[in-house]
Order: sequence, then structure tokens, then C-alpha cells
Amino acid sequence: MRHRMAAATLSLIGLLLSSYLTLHRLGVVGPIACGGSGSCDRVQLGPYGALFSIPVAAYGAAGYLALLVVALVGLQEPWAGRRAPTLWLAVISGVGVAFTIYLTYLELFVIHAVCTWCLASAGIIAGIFVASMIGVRGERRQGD
Amino acid sequence: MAAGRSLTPFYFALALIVVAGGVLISRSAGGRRGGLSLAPTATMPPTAGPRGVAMGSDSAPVEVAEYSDFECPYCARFAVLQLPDIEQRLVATGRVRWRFMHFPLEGHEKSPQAHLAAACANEQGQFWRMHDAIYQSQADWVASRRPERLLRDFAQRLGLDMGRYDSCVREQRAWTGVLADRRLGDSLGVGATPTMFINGHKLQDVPTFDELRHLVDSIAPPAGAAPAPGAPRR
Repeated sequence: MRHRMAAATLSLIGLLLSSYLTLHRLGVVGPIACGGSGSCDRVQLGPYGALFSIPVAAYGAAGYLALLVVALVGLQEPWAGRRAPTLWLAVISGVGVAFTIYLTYLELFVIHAVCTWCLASAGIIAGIFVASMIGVRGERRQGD
Repeated sequence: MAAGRSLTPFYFALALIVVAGGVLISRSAGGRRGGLSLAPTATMPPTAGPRGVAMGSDSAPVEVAEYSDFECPYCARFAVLQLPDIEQRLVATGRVRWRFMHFPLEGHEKSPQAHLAAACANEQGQFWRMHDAIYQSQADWVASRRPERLLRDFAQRLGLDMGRYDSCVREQRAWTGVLADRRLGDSLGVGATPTMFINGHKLQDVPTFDELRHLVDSIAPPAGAAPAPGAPRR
């Protein structure tokens, strides 16, 4: 259960963060604090900041929302005793980690700028993935 | 029920995170309280020199200098949603002189081309129409691999002398003025766009039309304000 609570907490933080980045990309919120480097604007507002005309951060927000829903449902009966929510958390966060690796590659080798907030999101999704993998292993042992 | 009780502190913690995050985002989105404030000291000399591009009457009691980047979406939002009202109700009535200051941000790779295009349009007295075209179509030219082509299209549609425009862009003739604005902004501590100065005082936030009007009213009361001759920009 703890891994689902950790996943829910991290997903909520990730959802708020990616919502903020989405609003920034759309110009709804003001200048982004980025340690004075301007790198966040460069990453966020450049051509790689959107995919199919939708801000990349919006995909992140959708992913975090899905993770949050799965984690919260997984805390309720009868799902609390089942393995499926943890497996879904592992799958969705695994996709998120892969996407994040690709985005970090773009930042480092294509855009040549690293966005602090994107790194924070990378840490969050990695944390959710680790929590869900710990849950998968723990539940497998319980099942044995 | 036991599970429900044990989860209560957890749900409470989640709610706290939501509230804290919501407050932070709404503040960034302009949910400020208490209105706009000016920096305590004047940071821009009122006689900064004829830099940037101004619209409005020279005798307007209030001058707003806007440091803006053409690739910045927040600047585009301001230019499209707020500036038309400001122009019509504050600039055209002779109460405000609006001065655009070039501030291409580092990292905005296509921004210099847009600033150069606008500065070249300014050579032919068409800065503001180019300014509007650039901001209204920001998503298009920023996403384009050859933004200079789209910018040239704008210039053509505005009826500019294209020979003169092309040579200005090729020789980067107007770039010195853009750089001068940028350097002045740097010296004034402009770190983000848009940043505005009202009669030399730095605004702490980006105003809406209503907020700006209140601020202008407080500096120069509107009583007896009549449309000033020579105010129109275009």
C-alpha cells in the first residue's frame, strides 16, 4: 500500500508541475523561474515544446493524471488487495520514463539547454517507476 | 472503514499539496492581490533617449516602455489581448505614449530574425503593423524551419519596399538598434519579458488593461483629457 501512496503523492506533484508548464507554454502564466538561465524558456517555448500542436507538458499532465487515478483507485477496496493497480502503475510510469529519457536526450544533445522543471519532472516519474517496481516485487513475494 | 481511517491523514496531505500548488499556479497566472505595484525607485531614466519604437503623442503625460521578445508567448498574449485596448483608449486619447523596446531573449533562436524584420519594417515606418503580424502569427513562424520566409511574407503583405527590406535584413542594418535596446534592458535589470516601466518606474507584474488604466489615472488624472492631435500610431 505504501508504494501506491508514494505513487499517488508523486503523481499529484507531477500533475501540478506539468500543468504549470502547460499553462506557461500556452502563455497563461508569466515568466518562468529557471535560475536566471533562460533554459526553461528555450526548452518550453521552442519547437520541441509541442508535439502535434499540443504542449509536451500536457502529455505529461495526462500521464500523471492517469497515474494518480490508478494509485488512488488502488488504495480502495476491493482493488487494495489486487496486483493489477501496481502493474498498471509500473506500465504507465515505464512509458513515462522512456518518454522522459527521449526528452532529456533532446535537451542535452539537440536543444543544448536543460530545463530545471523538466529535470524535476524526470525525477518524479523515475520515483513513481521505482515505487511501482518495489510494489511489484513485494506483491510477487506475497503471492508466492 | 479501518482502511478509510488510516488513509485520512494521507488524503489530508494530498489536499494540502493541491492547495499549495493551486495557490502557486494562480499567483503565476495573475491571481495577485492588492493590485500592481511599482518598484520603490526609478530604475529607468525618463530621458533614456530615443530608443525603441514609440507610438502616441510626444506630450503624453505617461510613457510606458515595454521590453518584449517576439518569441515569448506571454508577450504575444499581451500584444494580442491587451495592447489593442491600451492603444485605443489610452494612447489614441493622448494619455499614454507606448514605447516598444527590443529584448530578444537568449535561447530563443528565431527571435533575432523577428526583431530584425520588425526593425527593418520600422525603417519604412511600418513597425507596428509588422509587430502585430509577428505576434498574431507567432506560432507559425516559431514552428517554421525557415522563419525568415514567413517574416518576409509579412513585409510583402504590408506593402513594404522589398528591395529596401531585403537589403536591411541581409546587411542587418537595423540590428544595432535592437542590440542597443537589449543592452539598455540588461543594464536596468530586465530579466524576463514582458517587463514594463511607467515613467521610469519598473512594474512588478504585467498589467491588464484595467490595471494599467488605474495606474495611469493615479499618475495623470483623466479630467479634461481630450484626444491629442498627432497621437495615432499608424
